[in-house]
Amino acid sequence: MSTPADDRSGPTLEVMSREECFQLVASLSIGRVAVGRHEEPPLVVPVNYVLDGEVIVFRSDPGTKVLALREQPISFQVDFVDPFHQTGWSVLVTGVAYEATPVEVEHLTVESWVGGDKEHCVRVMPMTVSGRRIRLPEIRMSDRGYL
Amino acid sequence: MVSGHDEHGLIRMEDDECWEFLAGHSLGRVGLVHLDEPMVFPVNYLVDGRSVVFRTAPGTKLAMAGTAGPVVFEVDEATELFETGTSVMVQGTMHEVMSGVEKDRLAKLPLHAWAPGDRDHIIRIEPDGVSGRQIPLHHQDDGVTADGG
Repeated sequence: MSTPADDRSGPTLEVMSREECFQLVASLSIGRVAVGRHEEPPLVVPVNYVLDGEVIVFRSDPGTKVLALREQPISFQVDFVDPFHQTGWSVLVTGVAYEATPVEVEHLTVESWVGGDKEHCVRVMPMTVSGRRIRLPEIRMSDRGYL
Repeated sequence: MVSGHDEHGLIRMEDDECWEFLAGHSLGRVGLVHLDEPMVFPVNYLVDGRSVVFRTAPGTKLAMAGTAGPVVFEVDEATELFETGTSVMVQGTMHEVMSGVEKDRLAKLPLHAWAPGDRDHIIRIEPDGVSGRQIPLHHQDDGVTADGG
């Protein structure tokens, strides 16, 4: 379902399918993890991630992030912007996160720019996936042969 | 200039540095909890004094603004080449700017939403606190390790 592309020549906001969302998520490697906290704003932390099928995997110290996400709903957000064309997209995945066992991540290369012990990987099992894209108007050739 | 490292070996930024970083960027993310789920939306923003303002259309963000719920505002910058980055987080509450005088003043500032639609509502995030972290360059060579070792 997308915003009707009526006769206006401006950009439109388009809702993307789940498949499109994951294609775009797979194209990048830095996203943001948001963890809800009771009576407080969520914690939003940028992470390096890889996609394993539809599962998002990132490294984390056994510190606040991992502890905070136990039994809490978690979201994962990725976006891309093109400042020149003033366009972009954003995908929000909500899901359940858990600390991965070594077997679950041994086939993956999960980087982390933050130094230190990053032995622990977190897997986010997606539940809902939503994404929007700013679609710029297409430049169409007219049937008279000029723009 | 910096007040040391946190337990993950990241550089903690001073408040002034955080605001300077925020003022130097224009795309941020609003994080809020809606129906028990944390949500994150990208927005184009401006720093106005020591607050953050952005435009929005009626919807979730605006509905939350009406309730003055707790929100976070996050801006980050990653430099792939050096595998470094900065992330600044403002914690606070948001509300819609209702004063006509204020709206007129803010409307004259370069505050544009890229997304289409009638984004006539201006939301202000009043900060309760700000914090920033930076991945130190060459962190592995500096002897900085996790756990502050």
